[in-house]
Amino acid sequence: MNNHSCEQEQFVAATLRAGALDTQLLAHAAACPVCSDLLLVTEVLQKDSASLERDLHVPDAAVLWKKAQARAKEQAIAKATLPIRIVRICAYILAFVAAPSILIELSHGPAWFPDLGLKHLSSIDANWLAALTGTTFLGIAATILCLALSSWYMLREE
Amino acid sequence: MILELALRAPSDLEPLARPARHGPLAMEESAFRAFHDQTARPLLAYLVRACGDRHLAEDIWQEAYCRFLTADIPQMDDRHARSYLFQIATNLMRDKWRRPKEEPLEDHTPEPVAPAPHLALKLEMRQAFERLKPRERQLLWLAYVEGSNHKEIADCTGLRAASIRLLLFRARRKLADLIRSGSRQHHPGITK
Repeated sequence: MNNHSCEQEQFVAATLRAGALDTQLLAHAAACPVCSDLLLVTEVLQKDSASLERDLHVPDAAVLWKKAQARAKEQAIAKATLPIRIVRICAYILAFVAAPSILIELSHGPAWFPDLGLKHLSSIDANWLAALTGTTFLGIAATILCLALSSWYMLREE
Repeated sequence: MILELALRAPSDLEPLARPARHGPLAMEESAFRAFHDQTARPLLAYLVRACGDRHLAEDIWQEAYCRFLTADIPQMDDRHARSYLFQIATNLMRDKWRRPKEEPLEDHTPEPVAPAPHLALKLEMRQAFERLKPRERQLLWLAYVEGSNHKEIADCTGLRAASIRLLLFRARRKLADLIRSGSRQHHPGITK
């Protein structure tokens, strides 16, 4: 035995958890400051724990189960939509990075740019307008298709 | 950070006898009911005493079960599962204490005005326990109420296993002194 520990300490603790100490261990505990503290603290805490557990009201397991199910569903949705959120963030970043160069490029563009070309739309070269229309239609179609697919993907669980 | 702390699994959890993960949750409902029956009151008692605030303890208790059920954990036996649940709760408690804006925790549960003798003893013990540091309360409760060994206590509290013995000794000595001094104040005849 030293100031911090006693070789009987673990045995006393295990015996206390199993039940009461026998007279031999009680005699040892009376003489040993480490085991004396151990005995006092363990008895007091165990009595307090037993009394507290009797007094406590705990919610039913079903409440926790439902709450955990709802949490799991939220987590699953967050996990499933993670690629969408990543792509959206990438798109924002790309737009932010590309915006200055697009603006610079357009500032040297055609004279109709300051008016956004709306009133000069009819005077734009016909071939260019035809190509723009085809590309625009393709873009619109791809966007609608992507929206439909992502909506289906999001709502299929519902 | 909170999630990471609260879901950090013990490093040496071995696959044992508990049924495999059931759907999105960590166990089947019937198994959870049995587990809840075994652990609900002891966990809440631990939290109430370690936090010193019953309402906060109940919040942490619910959150601990939710995180336990939704965590992606390996298969484990009941003792490991119980230890893991206490670890989640301890991490949540630690996280609450780390928040700078919150005041030190006080239990606002009303006490009887003139307690009966057995209530006076309980109150005396509780006051002595509340004078310990939160970490000391956790250590003592886990060791002497839950019967956790040093390795389990280290896993649960994030302390080194080698330092648990000394920390427990100090906390135990402090509480024993507080209880004895409290007893001497109320019963001056008692010398030890």
